Formats: sequence, C-alpha cells, structure tokens
Amino acid sequence: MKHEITLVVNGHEHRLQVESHHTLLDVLRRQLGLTGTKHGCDCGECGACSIWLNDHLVLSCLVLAAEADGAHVVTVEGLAASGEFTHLQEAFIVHHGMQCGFCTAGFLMAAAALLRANPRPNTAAIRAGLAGNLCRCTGYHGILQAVQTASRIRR
Amino acid sequence: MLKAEDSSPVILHVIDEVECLQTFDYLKARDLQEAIALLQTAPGSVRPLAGGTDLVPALRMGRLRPRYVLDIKGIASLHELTYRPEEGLYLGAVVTFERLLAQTEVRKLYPLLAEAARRIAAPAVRNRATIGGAVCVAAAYSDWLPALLCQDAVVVVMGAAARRVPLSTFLCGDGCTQLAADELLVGLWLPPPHGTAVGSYQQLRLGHGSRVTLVGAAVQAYVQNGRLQDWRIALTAAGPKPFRVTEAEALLNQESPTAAVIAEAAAQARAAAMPADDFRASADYRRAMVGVLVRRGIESLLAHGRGAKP
Repeated sequence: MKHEITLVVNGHEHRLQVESHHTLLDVLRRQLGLTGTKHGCDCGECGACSIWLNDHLVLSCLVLAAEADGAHVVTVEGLAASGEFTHLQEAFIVHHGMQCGFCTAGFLMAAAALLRANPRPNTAAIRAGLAGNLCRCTGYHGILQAVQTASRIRR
Repeated sequence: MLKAEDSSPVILHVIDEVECLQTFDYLKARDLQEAIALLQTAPGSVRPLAGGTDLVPALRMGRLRPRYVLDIKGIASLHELTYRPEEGLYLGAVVTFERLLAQTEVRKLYPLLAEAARRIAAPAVRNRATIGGAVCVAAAYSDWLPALLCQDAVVVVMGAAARRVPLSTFLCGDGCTQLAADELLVGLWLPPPHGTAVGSYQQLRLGHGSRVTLVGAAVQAYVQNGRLQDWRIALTAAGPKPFRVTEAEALLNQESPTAAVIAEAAAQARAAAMPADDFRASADYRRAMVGVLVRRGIESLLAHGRGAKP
C-alpha cells in the first residue's frame, strides 16, 4: 500500500510517496539521499540509525515511514545546519571520537540529545545516554571525552 | 548529500525490495471502536503497532507476517496516564517508558517501576517502546514484567466486551498471553501503594543498553512502623515467563531478615527458577545468579531502611 506523507527533515518540507513496509531509515537514506544516518543492525541494537523524531531520540530502523507522517526529523546532516560544526562535532574531531566513523552519526545524535536534556552530565549519565550506541572499533574513550569536553564548552 | 530539491519520489524504485520488510498494509486507527472493528473483521491478520521496537524487527525478519499493521498511537485514550490516591495508577497502553519516567508521582510512589523502566534497553528505545507493548510481547526476559508483577498489576483488555485480567494470569509463557486475536490491550491498572514503597531491580546484561537480560530480580517492600513489610520478589529470564517467588516473600514477611533468612530466601528463589539453557547463558549459571540477585535486592532494600540510598 502506498502512502502520501509529509516530513520536515532538517527544516525542509518534503511530500513523499512511501510503501507501508518502508522504514523511516529507508526513506531518509534512499529517497532523500541523506546517507549520514547509517544502516547498521536493522533491529534496534546498534544505534547507528539514531535520529530525532519530533525532538525525541529514536532509531529510524524501528519507525515505519508511514508512522512518521507530519513529523519533524533531524538527522546528522541537520546538526551543523548553519554550515559550521557544533561544539560537540568539534570535540569529536579534537578527541578523535571515531575510528572507522560508521557509528559516529548515531553517537552524535544521541550525545546531542543527552546534552540538550542534561547540559552537564557526569560520566555515568554520559554512559547511560550513549548506552544504545555501539562502536565496533571499541573507541569509546575518545567519544566519552568528546562529550565531556562539549558539555564544558556549552557550560 | 543531495539538496532537498534534488530528491524526488521517482527514485523510490531503487529501494531494494529484498532488503525491505515483509509486505503488509499500514493502517492507522482514529479511535478505539475503529481499531476493535478492524481486529474483529480480520482476526489473526491484523497486528497492532504501538512503539514498534519489537514489531518492526519481527516484521523485518519475517518472524511475524500479518496482512495488516494497525497503528494505535492515534487513539487518544491509549495515551492516558493518571494517578488517583484511592484507585491507583492507570497507564494507557501506548505510554512510552520515557514518559513514565518523567512522572514525579511514579518515581515517588512506585520506585521499583521507575527503576525497571530506567533499565530497559537504551534511551532511543525507551522513547518509543510502550508499557502495553512490552506486556503483549511477554518476553521471558522482560525487564518490565517483574516490576509490574510486584504491583499486582491488572491488564485492561477491550474486544467485543471489556475485561480485566490480573497480569500473572494474563501471561501464559514466553511470548504468550491471554489476549485474543480480536482484542486490544488498552491499559494497565496498578493499585495504590499502601505506605512508602522501596524497590530494587537487579539485572544482569551482556552490556549496558542491551535489549536482552540474562537474568533479573525485582524486589519490593513497604516501610511500615519502621520495618520492611509485604515483601515482593519477581524473577525474569528464570523460566518461561516472569513470576513471583511467593515462598521467599512469605519467609521475609514472617522472619527478621538476618543473613541466614536472606540466604534461605535466595535459595528458595533458586529452587523456583527453571531458566533456559541457551547461547547467552547456561541454565546453571542463570540459576546461580538468581540467588545472587535476590540477595542483593533484599540487602539493597534493607540498606535503604537504614538510611542509605538503595
């Protein structure tokens, strides 16, 4: 079954035709070409496809595109909407909070959501906030430091 | 990255159908009557969709192949969350775990419920996963069900007629409930606490954020006259469905919780466990850990009674 949906993605409104069985991840990556959001485990375990849906951090592989009709979506491409990196993104670069980079978009979305809700998280809160994101290179230390640094800059 | 104006529905066909979910039709119910009518018209071929954190992967893997997926999040009454001192807490089926955790009253009056909700998977999942969905999924390793069992939760079901079923009866095994194909779980009733509740959820996982718990124990008691009374203990991943360990509860209600009594309660929990033997953990390991987790849970509540943080 086809559905006509409207999505506001990173501030741009799109009218799209989607199938019932397409996920929001399918549509973001393949219809809108926003390939920053990664397709990892496809079952809600790895966090690579993390995005914001109506200001909530969600896994886009677990949301049907049809369910998201009328929603506001922010993907990693929307973080630096002004064209300049955010403090968080800068901190990921400074601390080398990535190795292969596949998990980075998901970590950025989760970390940005965490800092929005809790601007000065302690280490335990950072770990809890990022618990749903896996880094298969196991480079967690740089990621943790990056979020700590970003929280200090944001003060 | 493509600019917004470059994208076009014309490229829809490039989505590789082989990688996509099983084909089904997505429907969205406007109200409860419409949802029930749809379930009754095509019983067995309609699958209600709440948060989708379990259903969508099941569709993806072909574990479930419904003809229709019925989104129930548009039904206003299923979002209800109310506490009345005389009646207790009512949770609509599609209340998410993060929304539950945001309620000060829930955290204060039902601390065990809040602690269990906080330990479910990770934030992105808790933002979508619902309190009713987790009951319908009825996983043997559920982090949510033990805490609910300790509240004597009642399941509210709507079909041709409305009915209320105690959660312990509603659950019939791993992934199995009493819900008929033409019924919808609409909410949960939790009786009001009688006194100040203290609770602890002890959980073993392969890692923080993991969605599969190896074994877990929920322990709750009420502070009455400076003593802990009305103990409740429920286990998860310790049998085909989460369950209460009534023998251990009775023992703690009768005797002062000395080290020997705690050890005896833990031994009773171990004896009641019939855990699975699988690639994540052996049955022997799980059974041994049941004893450890129950002991830690009891000790955590006693420490709280002495003024320490649970």
